[in-house]
Amino acid sequence: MKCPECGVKQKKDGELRCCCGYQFIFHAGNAQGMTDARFFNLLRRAGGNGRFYFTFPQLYSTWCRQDAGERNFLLRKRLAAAGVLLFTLFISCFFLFGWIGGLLSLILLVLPWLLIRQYRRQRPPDSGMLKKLVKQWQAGHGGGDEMLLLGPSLHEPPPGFPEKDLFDYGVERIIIVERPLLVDLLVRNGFHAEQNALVFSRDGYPAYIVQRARKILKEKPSLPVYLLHDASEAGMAMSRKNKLSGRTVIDLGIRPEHLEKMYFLDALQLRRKGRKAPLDILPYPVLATICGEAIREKSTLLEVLERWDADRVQKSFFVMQRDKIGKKSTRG
Amino acid sequence: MGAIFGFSGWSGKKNRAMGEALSHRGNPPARTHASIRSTACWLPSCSNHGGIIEHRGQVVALAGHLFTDQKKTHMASLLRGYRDKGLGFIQDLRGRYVLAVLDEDRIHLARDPAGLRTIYYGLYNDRFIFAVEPEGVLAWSGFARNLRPAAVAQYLAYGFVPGAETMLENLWELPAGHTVTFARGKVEPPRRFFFPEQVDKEERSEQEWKTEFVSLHGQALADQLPAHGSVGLFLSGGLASAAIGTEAIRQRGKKIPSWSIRFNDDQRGLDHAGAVAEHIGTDHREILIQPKDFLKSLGETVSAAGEPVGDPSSVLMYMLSAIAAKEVEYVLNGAGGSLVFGGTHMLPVLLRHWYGGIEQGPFFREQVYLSSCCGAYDELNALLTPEWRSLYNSHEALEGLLTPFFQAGRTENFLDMLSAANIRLKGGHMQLPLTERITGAYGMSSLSPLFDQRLIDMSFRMPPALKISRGIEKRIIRQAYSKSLPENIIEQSKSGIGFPYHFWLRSECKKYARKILSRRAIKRTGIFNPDRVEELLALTPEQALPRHERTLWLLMTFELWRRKVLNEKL
Repeated sequence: MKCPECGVKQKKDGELRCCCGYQFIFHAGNAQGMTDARFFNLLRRAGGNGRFYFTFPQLYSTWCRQDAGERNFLLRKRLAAAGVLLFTLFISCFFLFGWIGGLLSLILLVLPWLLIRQYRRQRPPDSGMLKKLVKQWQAGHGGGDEMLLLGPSLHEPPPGFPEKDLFDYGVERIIIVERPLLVDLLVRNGFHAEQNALVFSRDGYPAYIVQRARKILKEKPSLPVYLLHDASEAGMAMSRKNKLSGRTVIDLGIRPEHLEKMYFLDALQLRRKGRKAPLDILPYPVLATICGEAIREKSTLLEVLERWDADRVQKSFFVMQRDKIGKKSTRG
Repeated sequence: MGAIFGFSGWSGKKNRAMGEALSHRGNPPARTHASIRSTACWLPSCSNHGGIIEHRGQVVALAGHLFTDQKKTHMASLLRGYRDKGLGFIQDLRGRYVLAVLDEDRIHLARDPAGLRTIYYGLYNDRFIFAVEPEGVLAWSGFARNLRPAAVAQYLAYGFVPGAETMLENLWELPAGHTVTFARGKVEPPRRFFFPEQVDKEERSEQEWKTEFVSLHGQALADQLPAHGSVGLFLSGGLASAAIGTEAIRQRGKKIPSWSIRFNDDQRGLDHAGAVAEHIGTDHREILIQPKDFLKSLGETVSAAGEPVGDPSSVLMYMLSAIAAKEVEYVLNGAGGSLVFGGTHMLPVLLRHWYGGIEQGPFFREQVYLSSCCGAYDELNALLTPEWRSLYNSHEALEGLLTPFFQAGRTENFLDMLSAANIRLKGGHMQLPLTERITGAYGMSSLSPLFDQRLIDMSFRMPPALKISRGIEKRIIRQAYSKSLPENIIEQSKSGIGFPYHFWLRSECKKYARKILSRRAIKRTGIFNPDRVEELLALTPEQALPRHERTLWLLMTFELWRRKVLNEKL
């Protein structure tokens, strides 16, 4: 096992304490193959190496991507090994038994097919297991990672300030989210400040912000209200069931089919998960960028995502064309 | 345009070197006068403004434009003023100017109250050297070009170097509304003579404030507009440039040419700028900016600015200036309007105070301000190497500069504190000097009427709700021009010239960024953590936040500037 603090590899797998004093939480050879160093890296990746706060679904999504990456790497390695084996067999059989032997050896082409089939059938890791691992990590480290948001923590209003005008200038928009933890995610990462918006949850968290939002909406009834919800039936019901009739309400929320299209969420195999996913399964940079773009351009998340996708396809097409042209000119 | 420069002592050779370094700012040769122990030079501009005068060993040199002297600067009255009142005579001056007074063994420098023009001074071998651009001071061949460690952190956090200190050791920029004196071989601390944030609030109706704003804006524009010479307008699509355009056409009574930027993959600013141009009736041109042209101009902009350019819109302005200079000598722009009338980054700073449950240390306000600055404040520890960080006091360099603005009881409300910090730091040390130098690179004079001393003064007298109210910024400008401008322009939130970081730094400009920020180059300088820089360069659009692209921009422009100043190969 490798120590996440000093990077020293332990000589014995059963060691519980590193020479630097670090106390190991996970034991080598556990069911998930999770080690302290791997978990530490997972936390770092989910939080962009300390650049932003993240929630459990984001951690899980990172784990799935990491796991898929590792499996993909393993598959490539196996395919390469199978390729070498097949080629050797083909040559050997060809020389030993002639063309018939060579052709018979090609039957073994089923091997790569089996490998790919096995890879495709593999499921992403279990989120319940990750919850257990997080709890174990928290218990071992007396609180866990400071960037991982596990529960709402903005209940208390801010302290009093000597200047009384801090709340007098209003906001440009209001964002209502489906769950309290999304408020923490957006506020702690400064999204509300970037968008000049007040963020609170559908169930009225934090209460002091809801009070201010009511006052602001009363003063300016035309203030746009954005709804940001999970990709689920309950989330989508937010735009139908709310007390905001007569106001400018824009549903930013996302539908399950939108998430399924996102190439960087492939590892989560969302199609198998009953067509629902929390919004914060999206990595925070993606969430912040697409929401910011949708707000700025007064469009929906779907439009932004479609544009991203088109841009990506166009760029990859452009790269392909450029490569083709490059090859042709080299040949010429 | 035009320039002044000089130094303590005499040296014909250095005179010429400084004159050559600043020759793009006027019509050489520079006129030189000397007092008993020092020399001052004035490089004439294409207008008749500015000048140099010497009488009985006293020399006064001025670059810029005094609004009281419409056709020509009366240098004799300035000298008389100095003799009668001492340095206090600058209290009576109104305009965009920098001024040098040589009197026996003393050299006084003064910068206009708003900070429309700027001046740098340095110490080299006990000599005091001054010039309107850093290049002028650096023309002294032996002047040590040592990076000031704190300045790198400041540039990354603020997007510019705030305060009197600059990127280099022993080189300072005089803050706006200040004077500085060199006497008996020592530089005295700069003295401030313009205190707009200390004025009392006035009770008036909104209509009265609106009338005063229209009147002062009209006066500021009339004072800045030249009697002769062609004038154009840079339209960003924002409210400030639209208001200036409206007023300029009203005063000139004829069409003026205008220019705006258009990107190949981003059409946002286009609609607004085009709509404004059509409405106010300018002869408008949209300039399509392509990444390859942009990259070519980037290095040239850094050279023209004489400092790293933290704001990519400076490069766009440089590109526009190249085109506009073929037609006009003066260019109007909305620079500083947002700073004076409640724009840039004020709501974000306020909003970060709204939520509880977030730890608020003794410097919470300063930290919040810096986090909202579009810089890399939150990344500094990861970006800079521990060795580099150990060379300066982080608190003094970053938060400490803001503390004087945020001291409780300094003004009645927080918005005025923010305005004061923005005007003095961002306006006086970045936006206005940079605009002046960049347009000046092509021989044009920049006119920024919204950053006028009288308007700054008024912005602190009026109720803060006229700056921002109900989430709407620059409310007074909106109200004043609600009948002259189309509704979509009046109602739109801040736009300005937007730069598509997300598209360019991740695609077309990526190769260039990788070249400039190569691991080898970064490692050699020892300033930045190469792992972190590589990590930033490797971020895919799914992993990067807009602020990461801004960080890359800051790193890239810093490196370009550093190599240029230290004469390293690009």
